[in-house]
Amino acid sequence: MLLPHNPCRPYSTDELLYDGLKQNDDRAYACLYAQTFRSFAHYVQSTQGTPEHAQDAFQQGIAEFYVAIQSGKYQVSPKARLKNVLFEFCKRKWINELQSARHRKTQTLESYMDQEEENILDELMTLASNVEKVTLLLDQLGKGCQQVIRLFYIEEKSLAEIAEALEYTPKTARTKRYECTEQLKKLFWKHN
Amino acid sequence: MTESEFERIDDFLAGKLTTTEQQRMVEAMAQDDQLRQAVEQHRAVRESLQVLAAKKRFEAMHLQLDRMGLLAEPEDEEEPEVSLEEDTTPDLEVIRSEPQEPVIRRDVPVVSIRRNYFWQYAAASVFVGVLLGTLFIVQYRGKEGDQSEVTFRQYFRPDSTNNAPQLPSEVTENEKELSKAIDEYRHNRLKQSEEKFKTIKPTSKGTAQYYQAYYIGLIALEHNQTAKAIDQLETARQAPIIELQQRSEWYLGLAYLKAHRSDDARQLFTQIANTPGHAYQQKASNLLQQHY
Repeated sequence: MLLPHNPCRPYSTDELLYDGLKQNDDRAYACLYAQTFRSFAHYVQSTQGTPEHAQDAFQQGIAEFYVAIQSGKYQVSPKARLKNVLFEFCKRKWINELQSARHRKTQTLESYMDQEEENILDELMTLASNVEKVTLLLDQLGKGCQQVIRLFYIEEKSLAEIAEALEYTPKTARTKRYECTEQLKKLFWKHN
Repeated sequence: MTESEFERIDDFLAGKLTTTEQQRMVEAMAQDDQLRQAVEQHRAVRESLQVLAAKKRFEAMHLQLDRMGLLAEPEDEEEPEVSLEEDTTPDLEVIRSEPQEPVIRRDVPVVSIRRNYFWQYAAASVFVGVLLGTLFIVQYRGKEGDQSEVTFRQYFRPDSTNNAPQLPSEVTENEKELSKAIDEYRHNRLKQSEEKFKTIKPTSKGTAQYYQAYYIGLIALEHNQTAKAIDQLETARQAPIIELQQRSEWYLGLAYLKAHRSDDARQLFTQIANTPGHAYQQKASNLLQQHY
């Protein structure tokens, strides 16, 4: 990845930045990352999180934000600044994590977002909850199925590469991907 | 759901269908509730898996932004300069503390005679050295070239059907032409593919120019036109799309290898091997271990 010294230079407005994000331009994501991460890291550390927590939570959040943009779930709105929405989204996810078993603490959710931003955030939180569920269910599949799904959808390997790596025939790799993904989908919708 | 229905839906959601097929799918979904539901069910799981893949991309991005100092606190920004100064000071002290050797000798006649012999010997030695060196290099290059070719053949695979970079679904500029040209490449119709790529006139703003350069570079590489391949892949490497950038880097490394630009190849493969999350990280490590 080669990034320019100032990845934000082409994006003087939120609309231009959104166009860059929609086009999956690394410079646009680098700009949004650089603009938002530092504030979020401050916030996490102010709630007794570590820099590693901040990094992990932010990367998960921006990855979900990316999928929401690519799938069209997130539409640009003049009222909702991109970096504000991303920050607020990561913050809510972090608060949820704080309220989970490991860091049981009561946090008040201060929100200054208007209705339009709230709707966007709800959509993003639903996606985040799906991701969490899929991650857990993936571990319930057999080892072979986990490998095929991870290699195809997460490592983004081709079926030919999967066949080579797992010593399958190309046809078996194709069928495995079908059967394993269907198995994961069944589990997902059964628990939904 | 049958396997073929599954593949159609998965390709639809991955943006792998042609514009016409995509349109047909949208129309079919509008008329068929069951199909629409199947797509939505598939989409929810696929998107979640896509997030896990995207996270790796942002881990790599974090490292690079951090290295560029774009994530640092303002007061930390001067630290590297301070540490550089600390590094240089002891070196200067060492140099200053070294004893001073006499440089000029005053024994003129002896020096004069020695100088004459010295230059004769030196000239003869240089001549013999150059001669032997040339012979050695010719022989070494031959062996190195053979080895480079063997390694290239071992690692080069055409970017096959499922291995090809996906066009972002938003690319509308030249989308049809690009899809057709890529399709020709995927079906190993290299001549037709190159002709189609050459007719595309991308704008400077879009990403089509990088896909065009990438595939023309790959085709040139398969036709042993290494200079052309290097030129095109160096352009494709500037793409603002990580996936395409990484693929271009890998094939550019192979093109350097084929062109016997061993140092450039080693430098690029080392960079790939040291980039966390690079799609060719493992392959580059293996190649470096084996070839160098």
